Amino acid sequence: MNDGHDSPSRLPLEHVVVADLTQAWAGSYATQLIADLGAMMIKVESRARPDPWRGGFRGERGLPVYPGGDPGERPYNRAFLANSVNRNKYGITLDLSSTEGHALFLELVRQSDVVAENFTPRVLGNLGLGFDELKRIRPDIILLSMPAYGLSGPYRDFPGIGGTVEPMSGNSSLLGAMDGPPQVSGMMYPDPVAGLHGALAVVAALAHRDRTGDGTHVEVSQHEAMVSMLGEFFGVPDLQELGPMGNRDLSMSPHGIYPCSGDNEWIALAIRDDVEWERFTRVAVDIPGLSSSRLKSLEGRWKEREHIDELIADWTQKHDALELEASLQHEGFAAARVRSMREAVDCPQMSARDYFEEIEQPEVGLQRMAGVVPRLHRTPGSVRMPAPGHGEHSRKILAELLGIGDATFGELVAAGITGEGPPSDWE
Amino acid sequence: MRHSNSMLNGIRVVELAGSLKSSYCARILAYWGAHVLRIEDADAEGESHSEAATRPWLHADKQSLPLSLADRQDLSALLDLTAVADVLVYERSSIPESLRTSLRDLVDRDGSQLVSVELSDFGSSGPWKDRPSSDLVVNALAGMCKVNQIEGGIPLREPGNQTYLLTGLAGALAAITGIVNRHQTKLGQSAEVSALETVVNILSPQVLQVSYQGDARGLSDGRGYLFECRDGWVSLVIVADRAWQLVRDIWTVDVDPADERFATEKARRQNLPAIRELLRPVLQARTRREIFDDLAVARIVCGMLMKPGELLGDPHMVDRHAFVELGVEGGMRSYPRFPVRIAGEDRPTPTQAPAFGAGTFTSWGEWK
Repeated sequence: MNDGHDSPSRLPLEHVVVADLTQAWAGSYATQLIADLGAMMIKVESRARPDPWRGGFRGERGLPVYPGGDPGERPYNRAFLANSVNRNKYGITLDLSSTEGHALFLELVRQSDVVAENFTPRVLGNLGLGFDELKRIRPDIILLSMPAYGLSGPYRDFPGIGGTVEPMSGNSSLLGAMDGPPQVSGMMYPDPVAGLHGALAVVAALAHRDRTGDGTHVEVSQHEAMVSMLGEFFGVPDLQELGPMGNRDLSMSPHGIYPCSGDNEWIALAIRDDVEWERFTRVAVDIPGLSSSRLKSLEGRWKEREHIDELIADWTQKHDALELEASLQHEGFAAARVRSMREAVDCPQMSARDYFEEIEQPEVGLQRMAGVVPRLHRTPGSVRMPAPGHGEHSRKILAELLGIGDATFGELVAAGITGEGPPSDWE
Repeated sequence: MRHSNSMLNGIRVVELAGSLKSSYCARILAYWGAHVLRIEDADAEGESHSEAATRPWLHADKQSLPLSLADRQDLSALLDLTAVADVLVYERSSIPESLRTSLRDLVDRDGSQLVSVELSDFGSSGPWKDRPSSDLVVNALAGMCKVNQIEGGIPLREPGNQTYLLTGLAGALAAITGIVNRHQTKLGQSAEVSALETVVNILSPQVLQVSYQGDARGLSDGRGYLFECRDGWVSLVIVADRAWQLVRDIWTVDVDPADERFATEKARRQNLPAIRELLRPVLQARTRREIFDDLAVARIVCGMLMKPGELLGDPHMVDRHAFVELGVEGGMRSYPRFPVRIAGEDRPTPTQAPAFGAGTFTSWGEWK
């Protein structure tokens, strides 16, 4: 099992094996973070119903973006969503509802340290794969469960995705222009938030097992993960009155994104304290009225925030965003021209730190991906393999890890229990 | 019953007070039962209103020790404490280079088992490493604000300082991964987390979209699956065949079978405005709760748009004890609990955060 694991540095979690049942984003992102840190990650999908982030066998689910807009012969292996959060994973298929598939999965559990899943709570039990069953096979197993609303409570069995968890969490009510309606983030933001919590849950459970020898069933409610990100708002007295925040901040003013000259050009500016404000009034001398004594304190500026924002916007509109960024940065202000994703990927800072990773995907070609977070210096994580094709490593993993010979493997493929791509009777 | 607050029992953490990034990182380690000692600046004049408002939430389960890092004796005490700690958490911009060097020396000692986590906005190297910054600036540079920008609107960060919280989470991931690796190798190490790299990592799909398509934008209208109803907004994911059929059955909505806008999942996904129009009368007659009750039990993916304050009384959150009352000046307030827990546990009650400037650390002997 050396392919993809031949980095010269030792990887921090290379002793960890994970049976990964997660799908879509939140769970898959959690396990990708763990895989980046070296765990041997085995993504288990259904032969007939692949990870929804593959967009369907024919691209019929309408989700994916394909390289160059071309779905190719196997669109499910070229979908950007699935390929973005499943790197460093082996990919196998198993029909967990079949006797043979179920038994093979339990054998995989026997050789795993962690099982990860993000189904609604009833699913794992219905498959006969609840924590108690897993523990019987592997007493010190760690099970990560990431249901939308947790394992208990009135909503426990309700399905959810980032697009519904975000409004339920309060985030959407705060996201939006000050005078506009609430909105959802442009990227199903609760998913990676929950994913990061999921990865943390796994390493905490590993640390605990190292100390005690005990496995654990850890739970991350995707909904609660998103709510917890709003902790700072729960400290304000007028919590019930909060609405769309624009880019305002509870502890800084002015604090916003202001228009600059040119098409869709903007500058972000945060005046972090009263001393900075004093300096800003001396730098932005052509903005009238900023030196008023009423504005010397955060409280005073907060009261007049709308007026201050208008004055600053009038001023920034006369300037080129990059030039303004350079001059404000030079004066020590937290300011930046607002970048597009394409520009962010070309960022000189991240380039200087070799952050982005380029890796060849057989059905895509060379692709540029986000790098590994966090950076450990003695045992850094790495990007070693692209996301697997659907069931790409079924033969390899079943042979090398589970001891399945060629003849048996052929029978399992013929029965639709494992294999690559759509089963022969799929329509 | 084992509790979350026993997961990191025995782990000693020194946190050098910085901003939200390090505070939240250490808070997570404290939640899991690590003994977190927060070193506060004894020379600081006070804390702002917002720092005071978040103190109960950010510093629960910690002990504090005010030290003057300009004082040689205090500095020596800090290095002594760190030398016997398991984890050190600090922010690059909060301490001078000379102290960073001394702390690095502790990690670089032969056989050192210290796991050191440096948090920053841009990392310890590169042309921007000392650039003035903030949570908003990091968002703007990472592409996040433009992903959240709607057609004709303003680029937006996620509300609050969430980028710094994510950086704290990634810092905790570094710290605990270092502990797990140390169990195998008997060696500590240094780690670093850049806020910019963390945000770009959570934007992994958008980064790959740039690779496949040349650029990545978010939602053009900012609504996603949001639909307006009688008392606000709901989010309805009803484009898949099963959900579409169920919604029409539950609310008796007639659709012309020949209307291609609604014929397939792909078509429905591309025609959400038409679906909004079709369902407008039904939704305007119902509240968020009524819609949620109608559809969620049928396992249709849906949600109510709620304000943070409404969550405090939400029956699900109440049932799960998702909030905890913590003392603030003038009374108690409810804050969200950390969302990772051992399945089935009664959630542990946090220990009150130390007051600003109060030295609550009494375990010198134990640490030495």
